[in-house]
Amino acid sequence: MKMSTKKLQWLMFGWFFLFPFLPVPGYWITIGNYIGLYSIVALGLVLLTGIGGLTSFGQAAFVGLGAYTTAYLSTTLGWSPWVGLGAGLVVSGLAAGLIGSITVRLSGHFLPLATIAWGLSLYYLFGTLEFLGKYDGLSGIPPLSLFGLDLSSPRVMYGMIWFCLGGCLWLVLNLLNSRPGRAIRALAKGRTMPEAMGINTAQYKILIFVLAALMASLSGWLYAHLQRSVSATPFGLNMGIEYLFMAVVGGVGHVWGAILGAVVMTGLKSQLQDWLPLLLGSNGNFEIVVFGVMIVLLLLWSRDGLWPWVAAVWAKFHPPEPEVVAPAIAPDGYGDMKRRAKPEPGALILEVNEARKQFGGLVAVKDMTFEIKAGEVVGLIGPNGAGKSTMFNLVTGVLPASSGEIRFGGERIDQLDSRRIVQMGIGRSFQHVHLIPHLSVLENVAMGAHLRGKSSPLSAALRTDRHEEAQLLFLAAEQIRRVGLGDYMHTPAGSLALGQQRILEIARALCTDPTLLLLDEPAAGLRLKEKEALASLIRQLKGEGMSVLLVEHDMDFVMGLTDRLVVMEFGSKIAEGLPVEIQNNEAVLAAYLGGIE
Amino acid sequence: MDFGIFAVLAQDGVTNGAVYALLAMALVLVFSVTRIIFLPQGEFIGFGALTLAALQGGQFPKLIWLLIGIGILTFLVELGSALRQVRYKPLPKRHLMWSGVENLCYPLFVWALAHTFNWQGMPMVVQVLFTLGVTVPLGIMIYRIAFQPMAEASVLVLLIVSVGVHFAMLGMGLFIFGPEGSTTLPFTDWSTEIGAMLVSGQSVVVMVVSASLIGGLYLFFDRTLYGKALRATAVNRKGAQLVGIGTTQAGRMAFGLAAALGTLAGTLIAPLNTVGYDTGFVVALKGFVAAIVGGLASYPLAAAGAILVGLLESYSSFWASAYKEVIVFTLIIPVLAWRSLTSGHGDEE
Amino acid sequence: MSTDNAKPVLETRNLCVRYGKVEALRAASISLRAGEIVTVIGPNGAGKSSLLNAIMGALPSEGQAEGEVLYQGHDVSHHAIELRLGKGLALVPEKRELFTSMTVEDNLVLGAYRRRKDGWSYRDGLEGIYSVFPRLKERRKQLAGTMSGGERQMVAIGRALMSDPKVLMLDEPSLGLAPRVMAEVFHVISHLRETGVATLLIEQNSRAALQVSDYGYVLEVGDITLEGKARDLAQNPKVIEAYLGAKH
Repeated sequence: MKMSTKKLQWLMFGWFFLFPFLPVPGYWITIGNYIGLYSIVALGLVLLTGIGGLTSFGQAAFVGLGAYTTAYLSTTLGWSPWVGLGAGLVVSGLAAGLIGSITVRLSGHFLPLATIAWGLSLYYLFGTLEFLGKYDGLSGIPPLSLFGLDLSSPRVMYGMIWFCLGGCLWLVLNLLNSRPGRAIRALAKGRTMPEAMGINTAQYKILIFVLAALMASLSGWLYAHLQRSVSATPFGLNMGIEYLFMAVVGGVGHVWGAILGAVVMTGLKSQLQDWLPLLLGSNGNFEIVVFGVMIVLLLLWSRDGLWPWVAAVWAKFHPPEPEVVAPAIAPDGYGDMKRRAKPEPGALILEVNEARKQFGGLVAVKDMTFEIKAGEVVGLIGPNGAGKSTMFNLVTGVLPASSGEIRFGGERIDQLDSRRIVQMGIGRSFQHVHLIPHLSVLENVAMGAHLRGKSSPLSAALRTDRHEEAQLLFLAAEQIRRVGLGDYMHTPAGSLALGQQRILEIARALCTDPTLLLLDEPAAGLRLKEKEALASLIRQLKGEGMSVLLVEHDMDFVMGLTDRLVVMEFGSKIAEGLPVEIQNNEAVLAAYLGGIE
Repeated sequence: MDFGIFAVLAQDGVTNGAVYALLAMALVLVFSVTRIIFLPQGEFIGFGALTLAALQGGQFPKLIWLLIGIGILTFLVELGSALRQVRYKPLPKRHLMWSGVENLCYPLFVWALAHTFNWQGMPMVVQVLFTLGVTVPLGIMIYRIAFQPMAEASVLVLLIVSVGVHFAMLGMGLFIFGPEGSTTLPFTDWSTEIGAMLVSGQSVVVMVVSASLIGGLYLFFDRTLYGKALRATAVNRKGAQLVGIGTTQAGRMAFGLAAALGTLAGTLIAPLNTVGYDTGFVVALKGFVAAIVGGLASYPLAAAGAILVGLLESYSSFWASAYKEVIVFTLIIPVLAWRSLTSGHGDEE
Repeated sequence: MSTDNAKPVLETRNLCVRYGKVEALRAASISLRAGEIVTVIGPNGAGKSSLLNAIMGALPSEGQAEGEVLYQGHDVSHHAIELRLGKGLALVPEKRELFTSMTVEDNLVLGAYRRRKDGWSYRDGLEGIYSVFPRLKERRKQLAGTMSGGERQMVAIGRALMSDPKVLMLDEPSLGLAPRVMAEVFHVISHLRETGVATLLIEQNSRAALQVSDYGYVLEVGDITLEGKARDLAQNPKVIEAYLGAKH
């Protein structure tokens, strides 16, 4: 449940800040420093894995890039560590951008595999290069200093490290709670839904990979100036794996889980390294056995890590409040938001002309021709396997047409991708609902408003997007009220009934400001009452001047609702006309009831 | 570089490539049947080589202790899951009995065998077979404990589990075998000269064994019912379930085969290289680079990739020996770039 | 054909299927006897496929079945697919789920994966299938993925028959087939009863299905709303209405 446990979080965090001022032993400070360093890396992994659905075992290599860059610049060249920070970030960012852009088009498991190979290769490189001191590494790295303040003591570095972690947390939390943040959350749902909202999935995937690498690089920079020397070992593949384990143990879907995971793993590791050699009677990094077994067990029992458990205990005492709230009145400039001009009622908006789709030898859509005029509700019906879904995919740009033409508002769209098509004003829903279940109805619907804003990830992270964000949320809230889900604004989308989820998807599609709405089997699996609610919503939208194409199997549902019906069988149009005509059409009767001679 | 060196490097490259090919086959097999990216493959290389070395050195192969331990654990897992279902159906006594034979009695039997015979004097083939008798059940047990309970999880979750298993096995390997590596006896001292090139019998054995294993795998998949069942599972999981090829059974077969291929790869490289408990991982990853050339789906492409990796490694060890590993692992970047350009749209998970 | 006092070979009692919060099937009770063809008709999303998958034990992992599935009087509802298959249940799924990159003959042979009885050989089994579907014999070396829709359906049915089922379940066998091919498939189905196989058929093409069936059920949004002799159902105005939305 995406509800606020903010108090607990910042309480926990504040406690860590006080830590060095207490008379604690130096060893604890060292552990605290490592927890901070690891948390920064794990935070990047939460963004990448838990929220974006990608993963990397190579984060240690990015830590290494950050550490070695500053180490080399500040020792051999004698440059300021602050130059080293910038250079490290640039190097890691470029490397991540390159790897990301290569793997982003491949299926999800190629990225982690690539990061394993890449992590190993960089590790060997660190250990081989003459100017990086081979396996001995570089030493004599100067301490950090800030406005003349010397940061060489571990206690002072503690403040620096946790300040950086706090900054990263703040930026990541801001980013997630924004237009680009919603786009990132949508990535975990595959490609079709976000693209249909106009989200460039490839770009956002590369973005989070780069962001995770930048955080790792920052951690490496801090590490180098804390440790004052670097060598290849802490940047090997094993450490890369341990970073991922931290994120998974803490709760890979939760920003605060990164810190929790780093605390648990670092504490456990230091204890195990003390005890295991005594127990087993020989030296070695036996703690990896415990880590490995722990991860397997954890994934068996709870894929979500430890954080939700902590949050649930806290929530018992402090009932959560919604985190994302739409403004109650329209924000300034809301009325000036760009809206598409409505076509004249009766004007031709969608023309499908001889559209054909062939998969190998199979012709799924055979030269279909039909049209939709502005303000019309048209039903595309036919028995199962008639090619309706393929036809739907051609219009929404999920598939390109093999031949023929599809025009929307006079422009050819048959070869455009879905991201381009939604920009032109075709909104859609999905037969199998594509929602982020733990996000609220408001946040889910606001995903549809992606194209209505422009704010960049940077402005989101720095909160300079708040005015636009308020507009987008108000827009989303208006659509939610428009479809009648106003009472469920802050309910997690996953807890709605199927009928309400379908309606939520319509609200999300309405956020894209469409002139044509395409609904894919919206009545499938709905109860009678839910069907009635859906039908009355569609009538209301028609009353507001919306054009709708309903792809349906259920004839009962479309009969009273549509102006016109197009009937498909075996990929071809077998009839078209008013619902009454279709009901008595012999060919349609045969197609639906069938019969054999 | 004269032709002599060129030829020697080529021979080295193809020899190593043949081993990588075996590993790549196993990885493609496991992935296509179970969707698991089988990182612990590397541990079987090390475990196999070190067990063979122990047998040849006249020592007790300590891996058997692990087999006994994991066997007990596996039986407990089976018992636990049977007890949890006891509300719905009677205790599957036959099943538990078989599980007891497999996981409790068999490891003890292996232990007894290890003590009864003088393995040092046996022919190498028998030693290798005995080694397989230890490692293959281990692979099957690991499938039962770590992967079978979450056969439906996403590729990503399975990959993380795989990494967890890799960690656990690596640590146990260190505990069992210690940090020192070993080598095994050469297969043969024979060698011959073809033109300017010295052909070592060792290389010939590796290539012949790899080639015949690959041929054997082909026949297994093409001719036998079990092989066809595995292929069927890879092609269509639901279809396979509907004809009664259980996901579990297919997973066990795939893991058993992968463990066997990993072990054999270990015994093939052990006469020439010192193999330690952790050597296998890097070797297996080279198999991975090869498997990725084939998109984790195509056997012939994976085999071709393996030879490519072997040759690249061999020539780069001549030109820039310090950067050998760097070059081999960086190969994955152009390979993925090529796959990315030739594949159409990104797939959905 | 079927005597009323014969014991049903397959029976479900209050079978429910849930996918998370979505209830796909509610308390469905149906039965069929040896040699009988029973059809379940109903609109999309009514839970027809869930019914068959629950009987076979082949629901996707997020699906949960409750209630009893009795095969020859014994509850098999907690048995794995392999066991149900071994007892004599077989399902031809809506999507066929063929092994597309394998030959027709391999597909059929794998159908008998669980069948290891004395005195039975693959050769005999294959000949049996080829006598029902002569076209498959001509194409036995062809890859299943390269066949036409109708031929694929024959392979799917043939593969299920190779396991020597007592109850054959067919999920939308006519889906995507041209009328002539569809007629052929229904012809085969109607001849299966002579071998004593009971067939449970799910069809959208309700008229054709009712023509070959002995008995029928109408399933709507998870509930069985109507049942009766297939002849009577075909004449029932409510059935016709359910498919066209109004009387005519």
